[in-house]
Amino acid sequence: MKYSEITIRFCGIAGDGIVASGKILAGACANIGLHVMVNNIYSAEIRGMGKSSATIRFSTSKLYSMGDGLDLLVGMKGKESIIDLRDVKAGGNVIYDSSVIGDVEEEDSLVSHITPEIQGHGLPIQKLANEATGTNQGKNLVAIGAICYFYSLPPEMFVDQIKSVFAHKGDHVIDVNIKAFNLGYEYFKEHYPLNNQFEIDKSSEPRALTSGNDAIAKGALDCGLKFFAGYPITPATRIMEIAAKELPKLGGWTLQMEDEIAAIGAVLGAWFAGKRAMTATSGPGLSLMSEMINLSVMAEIPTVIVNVQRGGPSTGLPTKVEQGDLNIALYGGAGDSPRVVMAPSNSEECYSGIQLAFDIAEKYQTPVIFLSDLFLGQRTETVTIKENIDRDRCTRKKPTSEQLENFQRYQITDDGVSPQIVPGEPGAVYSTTGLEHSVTGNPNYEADVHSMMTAKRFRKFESMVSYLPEANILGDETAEIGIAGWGSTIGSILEGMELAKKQGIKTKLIKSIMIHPQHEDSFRKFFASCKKIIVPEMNYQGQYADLLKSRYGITPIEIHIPSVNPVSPLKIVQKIMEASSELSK
Amino acid sequence: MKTGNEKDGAFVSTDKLDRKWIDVNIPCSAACPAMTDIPGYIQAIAAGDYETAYRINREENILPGVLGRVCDRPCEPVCRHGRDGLGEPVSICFLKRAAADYGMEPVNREIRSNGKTVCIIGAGPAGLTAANDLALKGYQVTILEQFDQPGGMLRYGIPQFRLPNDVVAEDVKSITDLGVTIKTNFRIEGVEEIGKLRKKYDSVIVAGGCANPKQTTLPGIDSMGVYWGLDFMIAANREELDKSFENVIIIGGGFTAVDCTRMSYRMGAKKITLAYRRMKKDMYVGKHELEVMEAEGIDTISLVSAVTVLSNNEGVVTGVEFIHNSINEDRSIAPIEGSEFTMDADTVIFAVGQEADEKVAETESVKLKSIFSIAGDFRNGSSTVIEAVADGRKVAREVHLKLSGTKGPKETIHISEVNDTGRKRDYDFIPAQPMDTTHMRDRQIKNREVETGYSKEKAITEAKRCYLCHYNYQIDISRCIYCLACIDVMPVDCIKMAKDIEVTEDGNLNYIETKNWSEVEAITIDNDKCIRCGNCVRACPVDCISISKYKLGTEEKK
Amino acid sequence: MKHVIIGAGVAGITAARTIKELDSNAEVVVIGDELFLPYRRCQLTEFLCDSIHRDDLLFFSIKKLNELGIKLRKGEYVKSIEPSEKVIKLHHNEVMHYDKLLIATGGKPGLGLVLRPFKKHINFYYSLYDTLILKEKLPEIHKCTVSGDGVSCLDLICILHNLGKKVTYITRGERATFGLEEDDFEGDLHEFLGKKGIEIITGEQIVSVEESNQGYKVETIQQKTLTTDIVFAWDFYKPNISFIEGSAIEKKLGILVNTHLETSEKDIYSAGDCVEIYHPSIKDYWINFGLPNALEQGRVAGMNMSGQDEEYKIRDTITFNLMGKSLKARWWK
Repeated sequence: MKYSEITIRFCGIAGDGIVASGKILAGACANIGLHVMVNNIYSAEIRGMGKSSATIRFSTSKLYSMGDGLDLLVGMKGKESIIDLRDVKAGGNVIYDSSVIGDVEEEDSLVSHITPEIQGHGLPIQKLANEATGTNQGKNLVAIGAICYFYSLPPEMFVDQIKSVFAHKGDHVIDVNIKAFNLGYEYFKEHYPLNNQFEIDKSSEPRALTSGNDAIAKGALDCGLKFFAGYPITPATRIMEIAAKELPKLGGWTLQMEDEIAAIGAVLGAWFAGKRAMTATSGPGLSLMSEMINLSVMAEIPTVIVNVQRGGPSTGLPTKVEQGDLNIALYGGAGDSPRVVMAPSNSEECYSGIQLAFDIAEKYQTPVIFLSDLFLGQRTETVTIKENIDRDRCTRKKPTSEQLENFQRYQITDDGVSPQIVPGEPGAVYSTTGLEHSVTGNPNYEADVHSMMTAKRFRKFESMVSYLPEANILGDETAEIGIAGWGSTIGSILEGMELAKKQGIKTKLIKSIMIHPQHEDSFRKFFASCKKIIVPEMNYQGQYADLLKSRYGITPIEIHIPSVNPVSPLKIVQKIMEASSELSK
Repeated sequence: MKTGNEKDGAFVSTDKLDRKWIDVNIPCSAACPAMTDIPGYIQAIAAGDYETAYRINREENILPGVLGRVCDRPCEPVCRHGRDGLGEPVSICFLKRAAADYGMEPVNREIRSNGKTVCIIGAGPAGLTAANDLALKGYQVTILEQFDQPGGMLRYGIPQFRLPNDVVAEDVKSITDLGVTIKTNFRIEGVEEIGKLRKKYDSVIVAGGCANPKQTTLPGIDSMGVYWGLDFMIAANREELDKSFENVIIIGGGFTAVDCTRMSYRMGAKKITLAYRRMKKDMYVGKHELEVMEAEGIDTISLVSAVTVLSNNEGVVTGVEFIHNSINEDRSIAPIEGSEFTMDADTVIFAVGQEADEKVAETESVKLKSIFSIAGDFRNGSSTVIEAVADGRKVAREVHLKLSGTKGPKETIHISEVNDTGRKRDYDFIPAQPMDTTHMRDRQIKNREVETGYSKEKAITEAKRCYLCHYNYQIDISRCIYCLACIDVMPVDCIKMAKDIEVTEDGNLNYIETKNWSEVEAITIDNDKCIRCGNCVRACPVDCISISKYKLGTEEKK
Repeated sequence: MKHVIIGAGVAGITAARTIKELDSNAEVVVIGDELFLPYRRCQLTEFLCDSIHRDDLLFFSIKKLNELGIKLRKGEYVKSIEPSEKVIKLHHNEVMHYDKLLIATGGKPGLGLVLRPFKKHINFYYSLYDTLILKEKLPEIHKCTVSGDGVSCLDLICILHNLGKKVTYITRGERATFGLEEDDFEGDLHEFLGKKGIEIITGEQIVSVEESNQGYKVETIQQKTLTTDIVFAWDFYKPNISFIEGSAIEKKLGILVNTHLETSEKDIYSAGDCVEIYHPSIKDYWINFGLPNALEQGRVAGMNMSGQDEEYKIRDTITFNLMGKSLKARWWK
């Protein structure tokens, strides 16, 4: 068979080197210019217990999602992989370890559950790993060697990757890993000589690989982040790790606080002192931060809060994806508490989006909640990111010398944005408070002052719109079926639209990194031109659909997919087909 | 821990459990009738020390050159390396040959005569072994051989393309160099003659072998062109056959039968068929011998019995009438009525076994130990060379006990701790080295040896394969921290978690296995499954796995 | 009742179908060592020369398997049997219990001691695998060297010749008989092939095959050298029953069965090319081959495994068409 796109899943027990397998395969593919996306599923338990899997999809064309189904399942430990068999496509393959020590009963054996539509191939993974390295290490490379032969990929791509991944471990480790790779390769060549073809464009340039979390961290560092405070929480901890490692090199600091409330407090403090600062958390943490966000709104002190969404509510599903925090991001504050909410849809947008978030926060003196999700944050994908490094960037509206003389911290302006200083500015008094206040920042509870200040704070959101990027409309503009979505679901929507197109159905999509505020005219115009509107999202209530319904008065077809696995493009296609057939009646 | 039981740094044990360890854990030695220290000599070859390898064989199985070619290798089927999934058994016999080819040197021992004399009838393997052992103990030994050259079956029964005459001669010379005299063309017949010898010598051993072919009676058996297997081989070896062979049928299933087929090939036969009455798997020869035979174009038919030898008016054989057999539930065979068929032949050979020559002495009423002892095939019926060697040794020991009044030998086990076996894990994956053979086109040259022997490099490569099962890997339970790192890296199911340890009646430790980590009391290495790869030693974080070397020794009882 | 069938060829699958048709609740598992769905071996040559498509080879589709409820496992093989515990062990150490077992593993060609070292350079012509590999190579090969016996060897020689390749056949005997009986063919086989343009070398044997810069170099025992693009050779065609070594199941070359296709072990049956039945009318044990025999034996075995009482009756010879002349054959030697 000839392939231009393949999805492979490695399955095993935590400690089998599953994640490493994904890394090596992804790295090798990216290096020869293929597009790659990797999704890991970790067990919540420690080494030796619990299942771990890495799904790698690579292709000669751009990828937006993890696609549907597997072409190949590699089961390192038999029993745990049985459940993944249902994801293998008809005509797909399984590689299983045929050298397991000790007898296995029929019902526990992965092999006995393989149905005739898919083909199982035995590979003595443990035995060959033992032969190459003398221990159980190297199993992943034996499997990769077999995969390399199976799809006629060039062996050099993996040998080079092995050399670079293990460079710091010395020549011996590199040699035995290459040996493991070769043993797997030769075994498949001898036992399954009829292999498949994967077309590779030899002239492609290598592509960069990154994850959503890494892109956010880098984006922030590149646009002048000076301070990070946080509390570890899956799946956002990685951002703090990178900040802790990189900020000191740039003259900044990272503080791990005692809880999320302290973290957001510290971020406010840093912004109060005039420095760009950020925290990163997930659902439970964002809930704790509600009151401090209100302070940020009332005192008009910028904050940037990255929220990498996971299954909820409460402790919920710490290692599974969900898009359930939209409501709390939008409405989570007591009182009339507006805030900016953004949601990138891929790693490129994570990078450029977080920089925009800082600019908005600083310019409009508002909290910005940057909603990523576990899938986007942790998946690895090939990207084309143009670096934008400007570490002294400042978008603060500064006062004129007149405005400085009798400085009014909360001066009423047309656009609602008051000129800002940093405390300690010579010749000016800086006063701020969480109480309602007058233009000088002194507490004031008069009705008319409160109305004026509230109006001012909301007015910022109207004047902000012209600063924000326009919504994108993709697909066929003449289409009558329109789709609206957000976050990582956008990727699945794009692939679903491609599949529908192949079946002759035209669709279009409206997407924007801005959830609030939005370019409402564009949305209104888009919806008016659609006969059917589909809104897919990964939560039970339909939080984005609710927003669109209330804002634009539409009645969309809603797809609610609560949690666990990224949205499958086929689900989207299904609904498109249904909508299409209803239209043609 | 130093005790009085040490010798050359090794702890010397006489505990029968240690002796049993050797039987169970060094399966090749235990299977060898002569209890040869196989790992010992293979380890020597791996180090390039052919002389030590030769010496071990020379001392323990006496005829390394001969056995290195024609031994039936009871050791190889039980070799650990041949177990499921581990590859092929070590080519132990080929390595013995290499030891003989490259390490042969004269026996260097000082022998003090004890003034006693022994006469041995028959210079076959049993007789030669008994002579060797007794000569080393100081006896004056004379062998009386009926044929004109020593060797017995080695010289006359086994064809030169398997065992050249000069190899036999060299092994014999190594024994005669100890002061043993061989008188050829000397036939002894009858109990009286033996009695006369008994008066001249202090002891007489009859090791006359089984050189008389078993005879069957079939109609047509006296036709011209019908031979008994052994007679055919002896005649062919002595160049006494001059007729032409085109179409040969050989009946039988042992080594002699197979030798006859291959000899016929070399005598120019175009169509050769081996007919055996039971199934191929019941044949005495191994799979490899059958393949070598088939490569020479020889066909085999099984489950057929000969009924009649057909001949023409001049009494010259024309063919054989066979009947098909079926196998009953109790594994006995029965002819299938009405299933007769005929095959043409101009030569028919019956190789259905050998028996002892009754004229030499009636073996039945002959437990007259006061007159003489008997050894080898003469005592036990036809068997193999190595069994004859072991038997010769046994009888020599009996004779020595009687004549010297000593209490005999006792076995000791020398145990020494080592840090390393000298082997690398890579060696376990070396494939079995095939024997170099004469090219197919030269196979028909009658006396050309088919197997030409390993080169020195190949022998060392093959020797590296041996796991060296005389090493014993043990976990010290008192220091083990139950981290399971060893179980993680084991190549086969050799390390077990035990929840209890029982002491059995014969003093053994029986580990009761569990798969549940919380029940574990001890982690233990199953020495039967252990392939001595060393992965566990390398993985252990607390260095609690020890390696010791076991060697069997003998001492005279005091 | 759990029926385990080792071998997913015609005999094995027919037995599976027969059992399921008699008792739809019976559990039936079929284990095959090839990576393909069950196919008709006798049509491989037609597939080779493109007279039929790959799908036409299919003997049993997935749909049919699912309809009947037969579980098929492809690409796996059995390592050992323990009849006393009614258990088989698969190559990856999976242990499977059975109530009734059928061994229908067929046979396959093999190389003897002399040619085995050259296995890498030698092709067989027996399975779908062999055919697919040959199909890929066909455009580049012109000269073929063949050595072997049997009807499939004849079949191969004829198809290669018909596809325009130059064929050389090497045999040990004095005439090319392919191990067949004299009166199975109308006329003299050796002459017939010679007239068609196939080169026959007699009294010879291949002793080595090496790669050369244009294909392969073949050396014979009489020291002749041939250059060729592809070598087909096999020394024997043996039943695929090495996994019963060490068990008590009786065999000669093939597994011995009675006319109910029962082996010497209780609840173990055998059918197809791997079996030897003593038949009084030809006074010999024989392995009979060919599609109709496999179908019939599969059916009979299936019936007996399901508790019926059915005897296998010897069939007529099968007639093949060999380049226009007819060839009758019933068994292998």
